[in-house]
Amino acid sequence: MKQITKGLLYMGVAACMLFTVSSCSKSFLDEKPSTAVPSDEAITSVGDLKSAVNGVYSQLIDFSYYGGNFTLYADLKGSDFRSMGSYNQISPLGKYQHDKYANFPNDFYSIMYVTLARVNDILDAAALLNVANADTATVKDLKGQLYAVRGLVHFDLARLFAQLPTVAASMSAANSGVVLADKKFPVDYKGTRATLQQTYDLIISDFTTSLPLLARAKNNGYINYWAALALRAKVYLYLNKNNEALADAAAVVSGSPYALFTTANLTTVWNREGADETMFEALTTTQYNAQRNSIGYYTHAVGYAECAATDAFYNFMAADANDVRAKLLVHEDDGGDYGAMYPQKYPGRDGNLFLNNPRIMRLAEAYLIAAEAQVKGGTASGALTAAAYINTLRKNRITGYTDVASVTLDDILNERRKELFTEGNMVWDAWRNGKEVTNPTKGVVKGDNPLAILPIPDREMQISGKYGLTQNPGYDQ
Amino acid sequence: MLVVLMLFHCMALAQGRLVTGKVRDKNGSPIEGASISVKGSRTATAANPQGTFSINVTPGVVLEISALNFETLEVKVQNQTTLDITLVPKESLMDEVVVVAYGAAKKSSVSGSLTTVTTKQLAGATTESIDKALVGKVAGVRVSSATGDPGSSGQINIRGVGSISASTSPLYVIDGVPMKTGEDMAYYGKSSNILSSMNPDDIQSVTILKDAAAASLYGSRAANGVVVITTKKGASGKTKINYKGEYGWSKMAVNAFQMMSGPELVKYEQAALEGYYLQDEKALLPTEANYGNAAILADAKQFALDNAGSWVDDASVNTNWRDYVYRHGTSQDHQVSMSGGNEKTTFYMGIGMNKTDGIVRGSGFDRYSGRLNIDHKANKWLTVGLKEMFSYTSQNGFRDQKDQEQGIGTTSPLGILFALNPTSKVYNDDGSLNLNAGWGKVSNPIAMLNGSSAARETINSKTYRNLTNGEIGIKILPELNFRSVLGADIINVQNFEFWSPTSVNGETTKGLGSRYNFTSTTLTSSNTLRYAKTFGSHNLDVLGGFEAQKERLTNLIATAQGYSTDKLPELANGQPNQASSSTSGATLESFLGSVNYNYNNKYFLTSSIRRDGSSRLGANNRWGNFWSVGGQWKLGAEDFIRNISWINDLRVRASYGTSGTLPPDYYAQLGLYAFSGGYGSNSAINLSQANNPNLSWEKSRNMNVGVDIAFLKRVRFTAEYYKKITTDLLFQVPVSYLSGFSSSWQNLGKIQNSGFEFEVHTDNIIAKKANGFNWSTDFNLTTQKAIVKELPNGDDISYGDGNMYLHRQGLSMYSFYLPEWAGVDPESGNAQFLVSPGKSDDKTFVYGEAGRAVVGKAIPDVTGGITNTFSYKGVDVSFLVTYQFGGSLFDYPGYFSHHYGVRMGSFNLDKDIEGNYWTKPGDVAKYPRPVYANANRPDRWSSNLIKSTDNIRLREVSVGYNLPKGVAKRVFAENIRVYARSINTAMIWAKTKNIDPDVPLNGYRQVDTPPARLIFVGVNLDF
Repeated sequence: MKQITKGLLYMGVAACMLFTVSSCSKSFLDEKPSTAVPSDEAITSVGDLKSAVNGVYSQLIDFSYYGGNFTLYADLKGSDFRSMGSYNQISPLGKYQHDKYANFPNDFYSIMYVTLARVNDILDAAALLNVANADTATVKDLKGQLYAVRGLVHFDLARLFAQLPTVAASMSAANSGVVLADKKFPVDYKGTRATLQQTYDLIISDFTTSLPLLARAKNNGYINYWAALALRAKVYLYLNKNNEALADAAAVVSGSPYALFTTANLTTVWNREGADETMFEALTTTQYNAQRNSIGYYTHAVGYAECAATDAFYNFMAADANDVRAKLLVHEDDGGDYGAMYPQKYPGRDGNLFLNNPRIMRLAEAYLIAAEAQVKGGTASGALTAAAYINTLRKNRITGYTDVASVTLDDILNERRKELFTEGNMVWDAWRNGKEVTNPTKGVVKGDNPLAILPIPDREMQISGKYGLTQNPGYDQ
Repeated sequence: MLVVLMLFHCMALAQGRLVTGKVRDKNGSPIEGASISVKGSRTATAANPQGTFSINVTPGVVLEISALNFETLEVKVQNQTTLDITLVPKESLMDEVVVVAYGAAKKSSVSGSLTTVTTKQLAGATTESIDKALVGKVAGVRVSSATGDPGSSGQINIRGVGSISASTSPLYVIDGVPMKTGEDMAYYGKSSNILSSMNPDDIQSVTILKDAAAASLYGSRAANGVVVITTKKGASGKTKINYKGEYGWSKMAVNAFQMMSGPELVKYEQAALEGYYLQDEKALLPTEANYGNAAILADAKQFALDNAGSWVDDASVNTNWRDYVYRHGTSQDHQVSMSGGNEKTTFYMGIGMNKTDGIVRGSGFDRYSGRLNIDHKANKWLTVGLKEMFSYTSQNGFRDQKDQEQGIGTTSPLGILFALNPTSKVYNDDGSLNLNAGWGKVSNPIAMLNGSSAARETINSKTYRNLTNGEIGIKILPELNFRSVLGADIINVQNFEFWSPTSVNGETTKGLGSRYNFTSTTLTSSNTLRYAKTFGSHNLDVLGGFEAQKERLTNLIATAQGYSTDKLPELANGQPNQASSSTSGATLESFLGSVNYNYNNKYFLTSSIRRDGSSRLGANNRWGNFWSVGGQWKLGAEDFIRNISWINDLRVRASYGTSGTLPPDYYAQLGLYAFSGGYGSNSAINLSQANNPNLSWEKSRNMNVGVDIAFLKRVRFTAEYYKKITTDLLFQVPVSYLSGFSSSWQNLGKIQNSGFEFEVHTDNIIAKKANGFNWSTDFNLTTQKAIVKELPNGDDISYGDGNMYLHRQGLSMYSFYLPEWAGVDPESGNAQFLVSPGKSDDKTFVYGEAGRAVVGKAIPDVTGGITNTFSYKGVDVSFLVTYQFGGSLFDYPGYFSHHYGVRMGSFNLDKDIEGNYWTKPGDVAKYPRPVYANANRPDRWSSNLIKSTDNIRLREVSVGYNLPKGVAKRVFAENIRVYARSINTAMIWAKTKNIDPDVPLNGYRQVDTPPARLIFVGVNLDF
């Protein structure tokens, strides 16, 4: 009997030890992560909302978005740039090697649609937020930024995966646009493509929604009123809506607080954050950057050396000895390898090639949009002549420049090549104006070539399965 | 164990006289621990290591002498004062005591499927970690390691592939406590194996629990089987001291990664330039406008000549860089152990040291470990035990392909080898190192793979592990026992990667130092009450218990950049960059019970039930129940079989039950916003995971039938069939990016694993007298199928690196889904692919136009091993041959080394391309004509990279010699054994040459170090 008593006593001791481990309470099985918060509790203050909007911007510096592949896509597919290195990092894109099995389309699709889903989730959360009076302006601005980002990302998706509006035979053909992400979707969502018209309607409408909400002050790294207005101008230009494009661009030129780079500072501004002309750039830091798949590492001989000027483009740039922009092409090599003229727009801050903020809109482009819209017959009150816009720009680029009386569309397109190379415009500028490019690898390519746009990633096609996502022509199974 | 129990019964001496004796087996060897008891009383004793005993008896009593695996003998004591007793082995050779879930049992009473591997069987195996040591030894168990670097992780699959997205690894239980395994403390750039922190020399036995009856008691973690490890313990009697020391050498087991020679590259370069010119002139493919144009063909030849030397450094040089990347490794292992004790207390203590230099320059693994196991009987009803292990390991190496989707690293050893130019010299003429010996960023392996050079990029991982098990046993009644085990598994891992400021990857950031520290604590409390009693012919064993476990993982990350020197890699010498920490936790609460009943040791019924609650699951599905039933009929005990003289034992058994698998993620069920991001200098939060409050267990239903037969006193044979159906798979279902995620955790689908397993032991020759010639054989064979049965909506799902794998209903797990290579066009020399494989024979020269098809599967149909053991006098020889048939691998490194000119100037090519590529019309060649920058990409992934893994391999060989006792005595030793052994000794036959078929279980050959062949010589001293 004594034995049993003792036994029970020791069992009691053991049970106590057990309690110290488990505490046997109901909450024993409730574990919460230390670096994340359940999604319905995440955005409960204006501070949270700010952080969530930051999260959206941080997507832009991803290697497959503005931080890397997207920014150089249009230049590498065009006439003026080629790959010297053989690492096959971004160069297959420039060689039009983007079949349905390639990673590039998938990487673009992934980063862009995930960004859109986050935007929509935050917009939902923002709508539920109780906002104190003192914070209404801030919240309004943040919402405006979300709409503007949503417009921008759809614009980028449309340029990659759908024909350009001025190239497409019809804006209203079924499945001619992209899948629209204008609200939050469940995990089993299987979308179908909108028409090109619906796609661009959403883009314009998102920018238009954003404008009255956005603040007008400079806010480096974030979209403000002026950046959204310039972006809307650019979309109108793609739509060949020249009155609207001119009105928006002219308003930016005359009203925004930004100033053009000058012949004196043009070669030194590229590693500066928040430089005079930058209306919207995405921020990189030593911790958050696209590393070796970044715009800086791609465009230098000591990096991947996969974006160097063709000889023809260098000669084109060097033709005018007084044009300071020619100095932005410099000969580089890597211990004797990969020698060529490399662009100097991404020199890296503090000598670190990973640290380059991609510029998504800068003032010079607003000048060029205004000029182009004007030449194409656009009118708007308060707008200047195309020549006036071009003359102002060139005065800040070419030493000893004398004004011209008029400019042609070709003049403006050549000006865009000189001004905006490696900033993500070239091939689209040519195609949307009905011009062909002569790619160093692929040769002559027109805007209606099936390879001018990317395939919907095989993965999305498979997930959609029988639910009706349509592949682009030329990439069928 | 029996000894201890018997000793416990040893009571104060009755009146009588002393009888001494010796217990031996029929070979004359003493039987240590044999129990000698007086029938009908509680008087008992045990034989010492020399087999002798003494006991006080009154004349006329009957002594019962029993020992494990021997028939019990009864001797009537009359007037003798000395007894010479010879025990005969049990007729049923199978009746050893084996470890089972929450206890031990006679093997003959187990209805479930399990296999025990003993120290002896492990002696020839790797001393690196226990998982890798099991290869070829157990039916139904597949073992592989992702890389051959010392200290890297192994993989075990028991009975097929249990899951699609959750773990397929078994649960490891050490001395009654589930232990921490897995990869969640490994550095992101390199795989490492937490199991290698356990010294295999401390292990007494390993039991693999395979079916539901054996494993279901472990509930939600048992679906992939359970590996139960028991560490060594002491026995009362003379203190034994053992020293084991060995020294070994290693080299790559299979002659893989031989590269094209210098002179061959010169020729290949010419052909690749010619192809390049033709492509540019649209004269490469028969479908192109200028194909066959004689003028262009002539120009192409001239172009190649004009550009000779584009990728050739010095045509007269021929360097075999493989000899500078790989080397002969060495290894040494020293083990000292001591064990002993008295009636009340027994102990085992061991210390071990292992130091291995891997076959890659600059790679290595060290382990220092200590263990102390003490068992103490406090009084008649209380026993306590403490098992304590401490170990320290240090692993040096380089980045590997830990994540198969991350590609090849420029500075990984293989990346370096591929990028080295065979026409470049190792040293310049002035004797200095040629630092421009490779293409791209690769300088020279002597500089790069060197832990102290200025061009180094190295990873060091140190692991400190403390494993404590405290145990209390209380005998409440002779038939009612309480046992409580408290386990604390505390692990600290310190990963340190350093990229020197002048290294390839460190250049941009002026060096990078990264410290990733992980601290893991796992506390387990397991409490069971066991009631075991015999009522006449009815034997009953009932167990009930409660268990709770709490896991905590903390990581601390700090990085620095901007180093001014490569000599001081610590973070203080650079500029601070990143600081971060996070904590994860999981809890598990369980109730368990089992009832085992047998009638007359003929008819056995077992059943178990367990209820688990886990923090890893959705609030709506947090608790799950798991159960099993099993039965066995011991036909051998029935008269009608007993009368068949040549059958020694015959049993049939069957079981059915359920078990589960938990999500591998700590918080898989929660919808989450990650707060760990940033934008500019501000914090950023991101929607990071989809919510699933219904996330539940993966459920596995497991059926097993088996028959065991022993006959002719020489043969033991076990055959089993199993079928395991897993439903509600924890599935990371790929979802459209429009949802904001790439995948979401859901319970979907069904897979079925089934197979036959055979294990045979034969004593081919049994010596008639001591020290005679013995020969025995162990053979095992497994057939297996792992079939995907149901998928969401019946839709195919492709997954893996480049979506190369396919899940399709009715198809094997790990099926390769790639374009089908259709050979080289003899006319034009271009590679061809099928456009619509399976539908038409149409071919294309353009990879992007090829269609995909199922082109193989990783899982072999048949695997197994055969061990032969011979002994004669003091000499013993044993060898293990393993085999597998019916599986394939995907040759990812081969993708880079068979680039057919595409990567000229980045990578060299594989040696097997030499002389095997197309050179002129009419050639029927294995490989296409080389074309630099070929836009048609014949090199891309196709069935051309799928290779058979069929092989027969001499896996382990050992030869030992026990020196004559007289010699041993002279150095005061009990026994001296010298031996030599070898692992991965030779490939007897392999369908695919120059590729090691030991690849990860999903068949993806990684760009990492292949397995090594090791040879050891050693000495084992017993004092």
